[in-house]
Amino acid sequence: MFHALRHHVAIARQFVRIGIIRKSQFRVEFLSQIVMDMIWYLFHILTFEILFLHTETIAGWSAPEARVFLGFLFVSDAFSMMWLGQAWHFGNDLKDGNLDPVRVRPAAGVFLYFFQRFSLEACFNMVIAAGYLGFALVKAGAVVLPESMVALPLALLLSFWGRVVLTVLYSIWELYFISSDLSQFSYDFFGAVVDRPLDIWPSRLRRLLILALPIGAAAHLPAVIALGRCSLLEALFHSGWTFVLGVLVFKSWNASFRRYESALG
Amino acid sequence: MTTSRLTSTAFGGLCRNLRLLLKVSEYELRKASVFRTGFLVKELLRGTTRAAVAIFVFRAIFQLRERSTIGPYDFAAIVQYLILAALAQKLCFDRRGIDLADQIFQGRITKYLVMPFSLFVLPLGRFVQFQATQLVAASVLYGALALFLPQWCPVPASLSAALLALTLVLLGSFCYFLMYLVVQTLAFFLDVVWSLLVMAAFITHFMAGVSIPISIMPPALQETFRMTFPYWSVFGAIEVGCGRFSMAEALHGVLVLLCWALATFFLYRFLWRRGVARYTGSGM
Repeated sequence: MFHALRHHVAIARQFVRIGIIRKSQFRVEFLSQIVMDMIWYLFHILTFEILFLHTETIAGWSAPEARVFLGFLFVSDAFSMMWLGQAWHFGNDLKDGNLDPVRVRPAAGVFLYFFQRFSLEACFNMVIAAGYLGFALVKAGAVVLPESMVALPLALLLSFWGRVVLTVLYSIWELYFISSDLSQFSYDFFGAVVDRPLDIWPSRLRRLLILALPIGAAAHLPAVIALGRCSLLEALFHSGWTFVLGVLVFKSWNASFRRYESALG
Repeated sequence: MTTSRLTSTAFGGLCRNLRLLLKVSEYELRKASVFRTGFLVKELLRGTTRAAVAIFVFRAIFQLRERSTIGPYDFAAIVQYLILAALAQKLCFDRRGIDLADQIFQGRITKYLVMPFSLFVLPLGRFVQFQATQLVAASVLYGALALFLPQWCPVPASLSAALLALTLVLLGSFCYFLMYLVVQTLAFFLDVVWSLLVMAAFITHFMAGVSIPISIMPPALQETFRMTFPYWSVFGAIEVGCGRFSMAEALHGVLVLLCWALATFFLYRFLWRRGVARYTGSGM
């Protein structure tokens, strides 16, 4: 177990090294990706701030609490941009038969494919996103809670794990419907749901989005945990369940990946 | 060469380009529809979750409010606005519709530079195909809404208002197409352009009022966005269609869109010429 972990960390270090070298070649792109994500953050903040000009709460979320939600959304998005950028190319890689090295499996297939494109600029975005999250947590008074010593790291881990699970889950479609572009489509389709607190939905749908699809794990549940809107026991249950769900998703991906052949396209 | 011969040559060229445009559009449609599952799912469902999410956000807001309106909208009006915004957004050209930047990066446009037609016809064919497909998809969705949820189905103020609104959306879509073409042409000068495309999509999405009607935004933002094409492509078109904007305002919108279309077209031509002068044929 420890040996496998060390092996994966060593591979991740190589991904980081290659990512830094690649980005040193594209300097304008480096800047424009940072600006791109900042614009995305800005419009999300503006949307909520405009809505809060007309109301005091949205589905039980006050403005300071909604900012904490946004903070987790930005942090998890920055994590996704930092590590999971290769997912955008999954459809094409599958069609072009570029996944042979993943099939050889010098490490876990999911890790080897999805984590290979480390993005240095996303580290800057992570700093900005974490800064906003910190600001939102202080404004919401969440960091003074005694449970926050446990809750905050748990919420952050859950939000990163949630992103990885969702990314892998979306790509499974593509293994059954080659060239359908359904992984990209799913990202856009469910992206809108991830972007808002799940309390806006009717309770059954909300439970589905939290328990069956781990959509709540990206930003909603971490914000709920960090704000102390649920007990520590509930937080541990949700984290444990999302972990199990993630393992199941990875196993499904591995099983579906057996369909891959170099000449699928 | 006499004037009549010059005219007939120009007319012949135009006819040839039109025939080519139809052919390109037909091939683009075939290509898009060959992956049937993805085609159906994407074309019908694209943009629908954003509308659903926005509707539920406003539902949550209206449930807690003492007043029954936000700006000029009650809950029913805002639901209808968001449905129309999703349909108008579907009709506006998508950033993934053209791949000129990839072709420039890979040096694949050389063959088009020596052919006896303008390369503009090829992306224009994509635009025609996109518009035809999206008009059908939007009509199917609108028909399904009218059939199954008639109480939420927005009805235009009049036939002329509906036609004017459609004109604004289609003209706006052409502006979106030209804007993405301009950004893709930057591939002659930059290393990567996808982040600029995404940036343009984020900005125009907000300015169009897809998730929040612009009339509930602060006045300064409203005044600024009024001068831009996304405003008239989605928000302005809906307000015209629902009769909340007068005919004079609608014509002002058409004028704004025409100005944007002309400006972006000439910018595209300028960048294209400068870019082709730098192009080496081996990729950028």
